[in-house]
Amino acid sequence: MSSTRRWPVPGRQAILALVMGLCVFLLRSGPTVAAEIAPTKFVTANGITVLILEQHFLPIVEIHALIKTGSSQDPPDKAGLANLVASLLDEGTTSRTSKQLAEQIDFVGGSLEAKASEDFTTASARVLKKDIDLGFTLLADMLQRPAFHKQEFERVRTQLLGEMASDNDDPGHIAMKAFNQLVFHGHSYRWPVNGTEETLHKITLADVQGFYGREYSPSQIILTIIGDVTLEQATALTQTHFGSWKKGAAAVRNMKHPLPVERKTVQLIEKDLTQSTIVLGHAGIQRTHPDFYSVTVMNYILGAGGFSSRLMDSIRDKQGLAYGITSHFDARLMPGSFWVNLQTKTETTNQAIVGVLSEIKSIRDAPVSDQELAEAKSFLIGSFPLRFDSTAKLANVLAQVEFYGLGLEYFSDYPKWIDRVTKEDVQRVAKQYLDPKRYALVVVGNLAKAKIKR
Amino acid sequence: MRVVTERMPTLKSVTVGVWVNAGSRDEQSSQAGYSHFIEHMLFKGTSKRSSADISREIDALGGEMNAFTSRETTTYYVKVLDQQLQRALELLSDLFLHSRFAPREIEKEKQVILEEVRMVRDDPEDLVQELHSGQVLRRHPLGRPILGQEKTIREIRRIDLLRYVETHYDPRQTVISIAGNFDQAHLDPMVARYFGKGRWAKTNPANGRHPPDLHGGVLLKKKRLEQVHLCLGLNGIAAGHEDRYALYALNTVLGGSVSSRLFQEIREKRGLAYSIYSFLSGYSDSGMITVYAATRPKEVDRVVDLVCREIRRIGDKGVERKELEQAKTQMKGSLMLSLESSHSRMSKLAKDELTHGRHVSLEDMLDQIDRVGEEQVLHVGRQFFKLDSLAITGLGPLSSRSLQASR
Repeated sequence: MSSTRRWPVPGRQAILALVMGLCVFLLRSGPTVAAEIAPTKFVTANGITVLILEQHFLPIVEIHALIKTGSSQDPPDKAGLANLVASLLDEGTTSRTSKQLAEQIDFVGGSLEAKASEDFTTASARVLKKDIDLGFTLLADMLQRPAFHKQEFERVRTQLLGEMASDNDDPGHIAMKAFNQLVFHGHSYRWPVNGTEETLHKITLADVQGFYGREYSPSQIILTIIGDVTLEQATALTQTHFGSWKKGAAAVRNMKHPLPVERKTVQLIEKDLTQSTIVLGHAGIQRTHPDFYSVTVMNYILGAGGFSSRLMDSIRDKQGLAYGITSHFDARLMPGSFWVNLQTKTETTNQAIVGVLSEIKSIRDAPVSDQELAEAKSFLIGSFPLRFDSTAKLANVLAQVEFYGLGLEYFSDYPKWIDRVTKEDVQRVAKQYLDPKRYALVVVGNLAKAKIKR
Repeated sequence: MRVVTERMPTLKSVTVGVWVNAGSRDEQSSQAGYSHFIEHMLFKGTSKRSSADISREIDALGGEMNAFTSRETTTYYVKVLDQQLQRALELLSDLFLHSRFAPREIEKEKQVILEEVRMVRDDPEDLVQELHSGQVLRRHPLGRPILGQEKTIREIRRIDLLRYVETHYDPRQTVISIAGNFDQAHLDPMVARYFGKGRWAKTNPANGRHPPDLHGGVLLKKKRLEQVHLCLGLNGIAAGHEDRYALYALNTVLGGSVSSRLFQEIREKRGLAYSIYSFLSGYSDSGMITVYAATRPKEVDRVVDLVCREIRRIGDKGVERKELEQAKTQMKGSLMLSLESSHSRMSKLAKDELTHGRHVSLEDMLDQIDRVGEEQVLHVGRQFFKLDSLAITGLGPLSSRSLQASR
C-alpha cells in the first residue's frame, strides 16, 4: 500500500496488479464532449459489427472486441466455462505460444486483455500507433485461432483455482458470492463469473472447444477501433485480419428472468475478522428498461458513490460507522440486482443494517428534495463526459451501447433522459424497485460478537 | 508555492493537484497517522463551508475530487471539465487554506479512520505489505503504516493537528500542478488569487528526514486464510537516482510484466501462484524492491526458492542483451501509453518538481531509457540483487516448518 486515500475508490477489484514502478499513473483520460462522439458503423460481409472513431491527439490505438457471450451462457453444472475460454484466448494460438503472445505485446509496451463477464466477453489490444498492425494481428489470432492445448488448459484451470483461493480470503468477495446465490436462485446469474471449485473441476477440454465453436463467430462480435487511425486504415486492417473468419450460426439465447426474493433471507458466514462485511439487496432491473434513468437518479441520491449521498451522510458522516458505503443497481441484459455494501466494526453490525434499511425506507416514503434532485442531475450530466475520457473507456462504452442496443444517439440523449426525471419519478421507482421487507442479507465476520438480529 | 502547468489543448478536462511535501515519514512516532488524518479533515468544513456543503459542491462540479497520503507527500486533487476550472480552484483553495478542524468533526472522523485501519487488517494483500515495511524498516518512520496506530488516532486533539499543519504545510514545500485544457493568461491570475496568500510554516519539515537502514530476515505471521501471502524485499534506490532507469529495466525483467521471469516461471510454467509481481518504491533518499506473491500453503518454500533463484540469477549474470533491449522498448511504450490523461500528467509534473526541482520532458525520459547500457545494468544488478540482506514476510496458514532454510 503506497498511499491511502480519503474516499474509497469504487470498483476496487482484486485484479492482477502488474506494477512496473515507472508507470505509477493509473488513471487515464482525455475527455471528449458527448456530441463529438459519432463513430462510423458498418457490418462486414461475414457479420462483424464494426465501430470506428478517429481521435488523433495522441499516438494511441485501442482495438476492442466485444463477444456476445458470457457466464450467463454457462451450463448450470459447468459455471466458469465462458471465463475459462476467455482466459485461454491469450494462452496460445495455432501459430504463437502463450509466451510469444506475452512477449510480443510486452515488447512494444502495449497490453492485451481478455475478460468474461455475465452478459459478454471482451478482448482488446492497446498499442501505440506505430504498432497498430501488431495489435490487430495478435487480437485476430487470439479470437480466431486459439489453440486450447491440453497443457495450457490444465495450467490455467489451476491458476483459476488459485484465484478462487485468494478470493476466499477476501470478505467482500465471499459476501457477494453468497448474495448472488440468494438473489439469483435458479438463474444463470447465480454463480461467480469464474465458477466455483466444484464446477471448474467438471469442465473438460472438449467443453471449452465446444463453447468456443458455438459462441465465437463473426456475427457475435462488435469490433470497436478508437484512436490515432484513419477510417480507411481501420477498415482495411479489419478486412485483412478478420475478413476470412467464417460465418457461424446465430447463438441460441436463454433470457429467463430471475425470481424475486420472496421474504427476508439472512445468511451469516463466520470469518475471523475485525469488521463485518455487509451486503443487503434484492433483484434489480434490465439495462434496457425505460425506468433505467429514473432509477439511476434515485440510486445516486440513495448511495451510488456520491460524496453527498444519503447513505454516505448517514452511515459514514453522521454515525462514523464505515469508511465507505455504496448502493448499486447492476442493470444487465436480464434484470440484475440492487445491493448496498459496507464494512463496519463487528460491534456496530446491527446498527449499520438498521441504518441502511431506514434510508431505503425513507427514500420510498417521502419525495426527495428539489435540491437533492438538482444536484443528482448536475453530477450525472456534468460527469457524463468523464466516463469515456480515455480511448479504453470510450471503447468499452461504445461497444456496450451497441450491445444493449441503446443507439449511437445515446451520447447526445443521455443528458436529456436524466434531465427529464422528476421527483415523482424518483419516488415511484424507489417504491417499485426497492423493498425494505423482502431482501437478502449477507454478513461475513465474527458472528458470535456481532449478534446479528434475524 | 511553486506552480507547474502543462497545457493539453486537445482535452476537455483539467486536473489540479496540490502536493504537500510531507507524509507519514515526517511524523514523530507519537504523531503516527497525523498526515492522513489532516487529509481527511480538510474535507470537513472551512470558515465558509460546512462538511455537507463541501460534499455537495464536489458532486455538483460533476468531476472527481479526492486526496491521498503517501509516506512523503499529501495530495489534494480535482479533475473537472475545463469550464469548471475556476470553481474547482476556489473550492480547493478554500479547503487547503481555511479548514476549521472542528472538534466535533475530528471525533467523528476518528471513527471513520479506525474503520479504514480495520479494513487494511482484514485485507491480506495490504496487511502483508504493511507487515513487510515494518519488518524491513523496523523503527524508521518509513516503516510505519500511513494510517497510523489505533492509539495515536484515538488520542488526536485539535491542537495537535493545527501544530502539525503549522510546521508541515509549508508553501515552500508545496507544489500546485495543473495539466489539461486551460488558458494560461487566465490561469495565472486565478492561481494567484486563490493560492497567493498561503500560510508560512516555521520550519522545513523535509529537513528532518534521514535515510533508513534496511533489515533482512524472516517474519512469519500465522492467520487463518486460504493462501499464504508473501513479500520479499531488497534494497533499492532513491526516486531521483541516476541509476533508476537501469533498476527499472531489471525490475521489468524480474517481475514487472506478463513476460517477466517471475510471471513466466512461477505462474505460467508451474502454476504456483495466481498473483505474482515485483515493484520498486522510490523515496527522496532511499528505495526498495519488493516481490509479492500469493500461493498455496504447501508451495511456500518452492515459491520463495524460485524467487531467490531469479534474484540471484540477475545479481550474478545480469540480463541478456535481447532482454534488456526488450525491457527498454517496453518501458518507453508503457510510458507513452500512460500519459494519456490530465491526471497522470498532473502527477508527473508534481513529482518531477518535488524530486528534481524541474520538469523532465518525455523526450528526456525516453532518451535516458535509451542510454541504459549493459555495463550499467550488470553493475546495478550486482549491487542490489543479492540475497544476503533479503527480507521475507509471510502471512497466512504457515506451518512451523515453513521457510526453515531461509531463517
